[in-house]
Amino acid sequence: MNAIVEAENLSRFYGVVLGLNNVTFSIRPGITGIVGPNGAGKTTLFRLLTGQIKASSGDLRVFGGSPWSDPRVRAQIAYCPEEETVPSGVSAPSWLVSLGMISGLSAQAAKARAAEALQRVNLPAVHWRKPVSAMSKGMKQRVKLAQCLLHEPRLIILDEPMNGLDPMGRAEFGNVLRDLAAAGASVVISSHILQDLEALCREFILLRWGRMPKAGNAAANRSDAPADASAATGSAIAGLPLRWPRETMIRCSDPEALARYLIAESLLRGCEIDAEKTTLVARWANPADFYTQFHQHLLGSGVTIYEVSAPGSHLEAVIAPPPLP
Amino acid sequence: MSRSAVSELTSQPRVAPRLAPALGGLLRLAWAQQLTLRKGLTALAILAGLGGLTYLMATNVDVEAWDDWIANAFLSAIVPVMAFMAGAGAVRDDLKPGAVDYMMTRPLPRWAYVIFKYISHATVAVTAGLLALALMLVIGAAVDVAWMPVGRLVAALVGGVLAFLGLGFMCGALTSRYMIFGLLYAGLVEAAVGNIPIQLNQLSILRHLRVILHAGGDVEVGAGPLGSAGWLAVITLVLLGVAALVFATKEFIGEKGGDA
Repeated sequence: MNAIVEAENLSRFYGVVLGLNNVTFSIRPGITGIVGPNGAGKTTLFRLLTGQIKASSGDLRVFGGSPWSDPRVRAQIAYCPEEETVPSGVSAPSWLVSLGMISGLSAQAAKARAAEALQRVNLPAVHWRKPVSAMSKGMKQRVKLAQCLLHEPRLIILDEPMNGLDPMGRAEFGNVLRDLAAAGASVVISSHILQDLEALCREFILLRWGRMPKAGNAAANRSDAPADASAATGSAIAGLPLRWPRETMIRCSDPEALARYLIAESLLRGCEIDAEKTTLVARWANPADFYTQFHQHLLGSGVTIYEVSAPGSHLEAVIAPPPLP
Repeated sequence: MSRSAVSELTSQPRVAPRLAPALGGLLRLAWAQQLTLRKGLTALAILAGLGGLTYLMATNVDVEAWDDWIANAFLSAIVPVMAFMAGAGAVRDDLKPGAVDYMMTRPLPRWAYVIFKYISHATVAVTAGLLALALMLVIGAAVDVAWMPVGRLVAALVGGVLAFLGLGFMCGALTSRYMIFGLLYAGLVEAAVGNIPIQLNQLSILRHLRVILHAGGDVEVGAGPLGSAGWLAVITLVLLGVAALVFATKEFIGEKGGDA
């Protein structure tokens, strides 16, 4: 699939402060997650993508043009910032109609689109007359997403949009994003709620201290489907140093037999079996030795496996800083 | 990088940037932000205060107190300060972290954004100023004081609001510490240069307002009220042009920059 965003050796510095440092990546249609700890450069990347700041060096093309200088590029982008600064005293429809008109819609079209957008994000109509500034955090997040949908953008950029949403709200929010992606829009999203990202995204961009952990290979590609994120085992992020879980929980028919097999294969550094003798917690001598031969080892043991899981999410394992030597 | 692949994807945006609806949107937002209960009560309180002071001046035994109040206090001090604060505040509100993202990511050229924002807030500020002036004139009529010609009062009010709003826009676009700029301007241009009989005094907005009003007995008339109106227009356009230029070239870097 062709890329909608292409960045080459992109850097942005704020004086001596590093924002992004020489990153190269491309973003393809679909939902892409931007992952990294605070200060990793996510918001700087978003500001570059939305044309609010210029690159210090390197090249950034969004839909083939420069978002900084070309309003036609910005007409295809929508941005939902992390901050909750909204105009005081203005109701959601009134604010959205104004923003829609600023984006180029006629007053009539903007009114219709504002109502559609508010319905699409499931903001109950009883709250429509309430000032946005007086809304709860969750409702504000919905309105902020609604303002992204006004002008049918082809790229929607969301900075921590799930903050303040309850689990049901997050699930609804995710469904809206999936619908948008199914309708042809691309979504770039950052979130500290990594499980949500895993459930939504097929591709990730990993940032740490303004860099990509492995320069030259940009968008991390999750080849496994996002439908069952808990099944992700760590191998999905291509091009990055593999960071397998060092500990794995295996629920099986005979944990003791499985442990004997794994010890004979010199895979274990240590293990525990729970009191009910249903689950083996394996600590790997070298996790890659197990995960790269995952199927063979489990089949070879002759034990019936019910469940394999690792504590912490796949993304947590990937973005955690490397252990000290 | 595969430019050809990227350009293949580049089709026309689903919404084309259009200036006329954008102006409408900014007008609508500016008025919606003013027509709230809190802002309405604040405006009523200000009008009540102005009305009370006006009544005191209109009933003062000193016959010059009325003219002093209208020309020297209201049109030359209160209106300029309010217009400056309104202009700078409007710009800074949009540059707050988070708020800037909603505006500057829209497909509107930045220069157009500044001009339209100015027009929107000018309609609000001029309307508020005219309401206040009308209230004052009604009180003056009730007490039967001698008026200056209403046309000149209105011209001075509109000219002053537009020029000081433009000054506020420029200072707000330049820095978050716009009050310092405003005080420097007041001290250097209005209080110092504006009162020296050299060509540079044409830069003083208040001087031109006094010419329009014919209220400053020692003010040289020069090209007269029309000339001063022209000067005010030029000064306003220059201030607005600088604000538009700053916006067109400024990067909005949010909290990291400490400015926007």
